[in-house]
Amino acid sequence: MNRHAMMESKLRRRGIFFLALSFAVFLASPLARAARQSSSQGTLPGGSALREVTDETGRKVSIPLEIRRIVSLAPNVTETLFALGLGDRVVGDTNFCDYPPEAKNRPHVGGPIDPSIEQIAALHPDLVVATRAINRLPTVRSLEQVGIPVYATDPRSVEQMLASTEGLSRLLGADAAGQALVSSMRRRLAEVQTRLAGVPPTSVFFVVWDSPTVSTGNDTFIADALKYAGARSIIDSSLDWPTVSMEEVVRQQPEYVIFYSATPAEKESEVAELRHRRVWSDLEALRQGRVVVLSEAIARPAPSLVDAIEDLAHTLRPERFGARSLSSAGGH
Amino acid sequence: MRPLTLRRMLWTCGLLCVTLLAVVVLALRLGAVPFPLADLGQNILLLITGHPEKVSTDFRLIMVDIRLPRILLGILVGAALSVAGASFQALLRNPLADPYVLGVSSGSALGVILALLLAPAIPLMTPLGAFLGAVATIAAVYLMGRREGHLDSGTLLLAGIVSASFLSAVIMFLMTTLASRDLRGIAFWLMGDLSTTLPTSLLWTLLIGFILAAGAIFTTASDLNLLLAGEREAMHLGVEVTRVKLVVYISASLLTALAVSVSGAIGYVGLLVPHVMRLLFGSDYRLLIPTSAIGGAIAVVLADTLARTIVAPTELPVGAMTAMVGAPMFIYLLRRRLA
Repeated sequence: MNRHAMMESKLRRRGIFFLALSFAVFLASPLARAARQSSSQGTLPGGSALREVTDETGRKVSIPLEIRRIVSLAPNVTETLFALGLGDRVVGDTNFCDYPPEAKNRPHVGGPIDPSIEQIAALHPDLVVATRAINRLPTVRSLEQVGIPVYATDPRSVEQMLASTEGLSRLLGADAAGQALVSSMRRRLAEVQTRLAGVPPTSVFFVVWDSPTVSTGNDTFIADALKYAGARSIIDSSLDWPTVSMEEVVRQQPEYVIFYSATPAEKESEVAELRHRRVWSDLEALRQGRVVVLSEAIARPAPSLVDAIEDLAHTLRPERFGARSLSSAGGH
Repeated sequence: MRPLTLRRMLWTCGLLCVTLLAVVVLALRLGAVPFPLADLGQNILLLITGHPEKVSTDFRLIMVDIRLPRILLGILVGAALSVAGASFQALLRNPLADPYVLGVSSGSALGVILALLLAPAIPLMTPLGAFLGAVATIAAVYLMGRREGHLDSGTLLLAGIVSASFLSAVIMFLMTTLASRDLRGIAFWLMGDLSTTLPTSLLWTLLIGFILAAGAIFTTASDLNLLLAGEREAMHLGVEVTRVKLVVYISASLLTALAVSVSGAIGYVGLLVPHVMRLLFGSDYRLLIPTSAIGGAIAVVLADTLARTIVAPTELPVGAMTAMVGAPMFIYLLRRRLA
């Protein structure tokens, strides 16, 4: 064997060895990650006293006993914290957190999907509160990686929104405020139920987005809120936010079409335009003005969802609510 | 071609390493949370001289725990994608080959998603899915790219682009029909995303994986030079074509899978960087592989720095940045080849 050939065969063996080894390492990497994660539990910087809680997604989280600085990663979380009177502890929130108005003044950390981890870290939060529906798991993992505890809420119905609000209040030591808020919401919801007793549900088409047409599935807090308000979505889907065919909507001819907007007045004029758009114009409800434009509260599983429920119930069945005027239903 | 000496190789790589270092300092300097340059220098000096206790907690948290690991991840992903691109270009004898253009990244992404859907509890499934997806895609594209027993350059590219589009459609289908809540936000990852802070141990494993796979490709560099002239010619010159192709094929798929499993499908890096390196330093694969690795690191760290600063504190997916530069470059290269 000449020298060249010897080198060749040596190189070949080396190449195959490299290949086998790299493959093994590649497969082992998640194991290493898992090992690291389990070993890094309970080692928060500062060595302050911790307690372990289970969040709404079933994750175990070690959080400081005293939580003074909170970063919220979702508008519904921000609203809930403010509603519990904990607004002064919110040291950061997202670009989309616009309710209550004070939330807009807090430092923003980016959007719920794409926040800046370093911006969050720079705010030194004792706790970050996320919500499963719009935040990403990698964001939660990244924060845990740098030692910032994350508590995730997951309200998927009106009842769960109430439980979530109460849960957050207990977590943050605002039990009294939480109990007061939740029992007042329960009272208002019960009042709506009493007034609507015996009324058959109104069939509605709920428009989450109009191009493409996205509505709500069966298992969302919006579908549930509709039920509380005496309405029933005509869309039957196991997906959360299904893109629906307008043909199907026209075939069903809902009694009401429901939109929502941050600026309901502007939305009214958009809806007026939709009335002339093809297919949409085939909707009896739209032609005859059986349209409701709700505030954005309907799209946030947070305390003002109850305002939206009252608002909708009043609009659909004014006769049931007697002299009470719409404005007293709250809203914003 | 100028003869390749060890001296020239070291000089070239040294020069690129210095550039990379400068880019890393720039990337460390810029970010959603501003740090003055003097502060940066002083704190780094404290860390180097062994006084980590004097470094401010803010600096340690943001620089050392968040920004630095992200930059290191960018270096690894960029290097892996560029070496994979250069390898595919030799393997398929097509200068426009790239893991993204050929659909390998999409195949890898589909592998990850299937693994998440079918076996979310098994930790080994995600990278394995990424690897199998990459291998299967490149095999399919290779077979589709053959015409009358020969690898046809245009057909191959079309096969790759169509595969990428097909695989994206399958991913889209899975994302909309399966209401799995774990898939939420995966569209962001699909665009290429380095924002996830990974544990140091994972960075180490990625580094070792990269060194081994890129090392395996590097051992075949002389053979790749000959292979570029044609398989038959290479065979006559004593290259074990089948073995070399297999080693490069598996290693390059591994590099792609490695990058995709941590950062999604960052496009065009594997196309852009080897080309720039060829223009600058010639097309000898013994030099092209190391220079592509360093060049890829520079490119991705730069792109990611832009991605996280342009609209800070909101972040863009880094893949959007690389595609904005890479796609026009692809067209330019395509037209130059046709001319």
